[in-house]
Amino acid sequence: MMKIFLVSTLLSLSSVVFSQEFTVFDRRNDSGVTYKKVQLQDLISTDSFDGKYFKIVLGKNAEAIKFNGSKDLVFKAANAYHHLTQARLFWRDVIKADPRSLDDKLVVRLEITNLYDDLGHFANDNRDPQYNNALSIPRGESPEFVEPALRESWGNEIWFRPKKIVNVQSMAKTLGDNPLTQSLKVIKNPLIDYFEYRFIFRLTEALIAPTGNYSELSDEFVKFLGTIALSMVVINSSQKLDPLFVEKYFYIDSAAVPEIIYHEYAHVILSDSLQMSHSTPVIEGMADYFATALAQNTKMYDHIKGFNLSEPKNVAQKKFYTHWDESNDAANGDFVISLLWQIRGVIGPEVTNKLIYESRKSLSTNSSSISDGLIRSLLENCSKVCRDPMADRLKLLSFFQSRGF
Amino acid sequence: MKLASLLTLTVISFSALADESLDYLKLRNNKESRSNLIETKNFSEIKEWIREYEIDEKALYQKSGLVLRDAIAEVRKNETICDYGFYKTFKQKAINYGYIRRTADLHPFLNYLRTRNFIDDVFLKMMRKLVDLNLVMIQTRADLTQSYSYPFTPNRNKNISVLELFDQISTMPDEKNSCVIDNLQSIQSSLTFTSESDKVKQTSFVLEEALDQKIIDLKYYNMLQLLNQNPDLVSGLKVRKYLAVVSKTKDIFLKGEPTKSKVNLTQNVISKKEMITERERLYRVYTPEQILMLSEVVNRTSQRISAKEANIVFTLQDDTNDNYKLTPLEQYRVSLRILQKEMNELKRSELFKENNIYYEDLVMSAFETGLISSSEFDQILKFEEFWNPSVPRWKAYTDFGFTIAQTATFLAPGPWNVVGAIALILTQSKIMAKDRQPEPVDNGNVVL
Repeated sequence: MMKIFLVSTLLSLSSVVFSQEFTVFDRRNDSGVTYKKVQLQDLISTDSFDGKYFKIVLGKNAEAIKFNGSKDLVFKAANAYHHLTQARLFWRDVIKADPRSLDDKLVVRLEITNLYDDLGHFANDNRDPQYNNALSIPRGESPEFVEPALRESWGNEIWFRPKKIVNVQSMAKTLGDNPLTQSLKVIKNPLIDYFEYRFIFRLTEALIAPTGNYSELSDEFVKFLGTIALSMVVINSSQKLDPLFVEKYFYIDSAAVPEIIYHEYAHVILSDSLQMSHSTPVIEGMADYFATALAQNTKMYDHIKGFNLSEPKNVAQKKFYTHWDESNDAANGDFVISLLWQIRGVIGPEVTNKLIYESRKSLSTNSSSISDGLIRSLLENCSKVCRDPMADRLKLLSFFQSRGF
Repeated sequence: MKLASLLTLTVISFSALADESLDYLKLRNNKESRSNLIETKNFSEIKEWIREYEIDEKALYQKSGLVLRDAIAEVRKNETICDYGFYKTFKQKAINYGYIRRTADLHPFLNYLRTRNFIDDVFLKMMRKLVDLNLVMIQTRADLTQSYSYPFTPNRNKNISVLELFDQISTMPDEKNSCVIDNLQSIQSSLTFTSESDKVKQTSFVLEEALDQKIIDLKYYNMLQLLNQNPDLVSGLKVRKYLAVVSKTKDIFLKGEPTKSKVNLTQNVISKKEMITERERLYRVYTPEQILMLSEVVNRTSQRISAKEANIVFTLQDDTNDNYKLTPLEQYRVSLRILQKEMNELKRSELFKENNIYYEDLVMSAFETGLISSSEFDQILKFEEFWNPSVPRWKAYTDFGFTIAQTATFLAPGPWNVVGAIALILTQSKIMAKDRQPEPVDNGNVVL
């Protein structure tokens, strides 16, 4: 009887979870970011950020960050823990993700600068330290040729890098990406055309009815050439102004930005089909989509004073597809996220959530392109999950066509 | 020759009606989103009729379809149908079930059937005409004892052989193997006339000639004359054509139950004078076989779009193959191009030389055969935008305005000409950017 009591007490203790109040960031529906107090759920420790599903650690440490640590670190740990919990609930209740991917305990590392090394978990500290981003790490273990004492195995992890202030204005290239140059380019050709037509008009007039006085004709010719010369000078000069149109500094404290936390957690959930080892426009775009679906912001990853100066991604933009969007350099762009987000307006948000989640199974981690792999996968899976498969597929095709595919 | 072809068509249609697929349930409306024929006053007439006949509404709903069932069963039994014969059968069945005692009461009964979707507008319109024709006959019954008299000297059909014209139709039809309305129309098809009113006059002359030469008797003459004098009541879709299209095409490709939602376009009126809807036009213009062919074009397009993948295969000079796999959107665009081509081929074909095929006809046919559902209808209708994009009226006006403004800036004095030109360019580029559609040729990643 005593044994039974002890066993049942131990079993119940192992499943005891706590909640504790902390201050975190809150940003919903484009209304800016605010501080709010929340109860952290499912904690299994009374003095550290160790929970049933998440354990928040500092750098390469194995132990969870204590509640009595530095104020800044505790804020970021609480923020990461809270938003990861929100993300998990979203995936469980809204997307109805595979429960197996939700129940694994995830180690979350803050302020870690090491590169990931798939042979030994962490690359050496002095090897190219990383700042201002976040990444998800696939589970792994050291290979057999590694000395047994140094062997390690690890589960899926999320790494948040520390912020580092970078002076980007000094690095801005003078390629004419600034809005002034772009505007001047818009009016350059029509303006030259206009003076060319005027010149041709005068020339035709002089040929049909010669008057002997060609001063007007020469005036028009000078204006025509002058316009070409002047526009070239002005446009080339305006290209030098690129640095004036960019933020002076850049930094991201990724553990503080809710959407980045949602994005990284999405990678973990999608990793049953899309490995976390690759970063392609399709994979990043899908993670962005689910982060947006949870955050409900039309401008994702927007500024947070003191924590984030990155450019937001506009999910409502309607840019046409170009083959440059397939480049891995565009993995952090906003084309795929806007494409996926706008599907909600075509077939409805709930079906879109389900469709994009199911589509991961038909995608290849490193070879699926946007124009073929992603589109084909969405259309194929629409046959399974759309409410009215044929009609919805046709709606999708019409929509993709309108986006330039 | 025209009479011979009409009779051939009649025989074909009759045999179609003996088909097992002619079920009265196929008359149920599952295509039209609304009724263009039922007005508010018709509802009060229906209520009045129910009250007068002391009909139990619940029983009426359960049993009223039986009138249709029995009328159709008789059609199948006799393997023949005439419009007026079908009408008389239908009327008799309605009397047998106790739903009418007077001819005029067929109107509220038919309207009731339409409001409960036992029938559609196409059928209702045909039946309304036949009821009205019967009412005219009843009103003019007293006059049928003597001939009409039309003092009229024809100049177009005076040399026609009346005896030859009435060769096979000189006796009063039995409305089973021979139909009075068909007979009148076969006579009219042999005549020359300049207008609808002239057609009535020319026909009257021929009928009088036939009566004078005792080729037809007075009763038959008066019947033909009465129909001739009421062209609106005998024109339009025939019951046998309607039933042939329904039995051979309606929902034959439907998988599962028909959807409850219906399509608005079916009820778009394309001829205000005769109140002809898009759907009625389909029934009038095309034979069941043509409808199936039109539907098949949409079917093939749909299958091409849904195909797992599509490839372009180049057989090289050394007989090896070079394969290019189309992207889903290339596959989509190629499918629409093929659709356009197949539609044009149908237009050129002998079978459709009498018809001017519109893209809407293809979609309507596919909807009629149950190949596409109401939810797919609008999407498939938009395919035409691919090769025939519609220009909104506001854009046409804007383009015209810009053309005028461009000329005006050209003639304006400096510096207003330059300022005006820049302002115009910026405005135009802003508006065009908003409305700009992607062009596959602008994209290096697609070939089609």
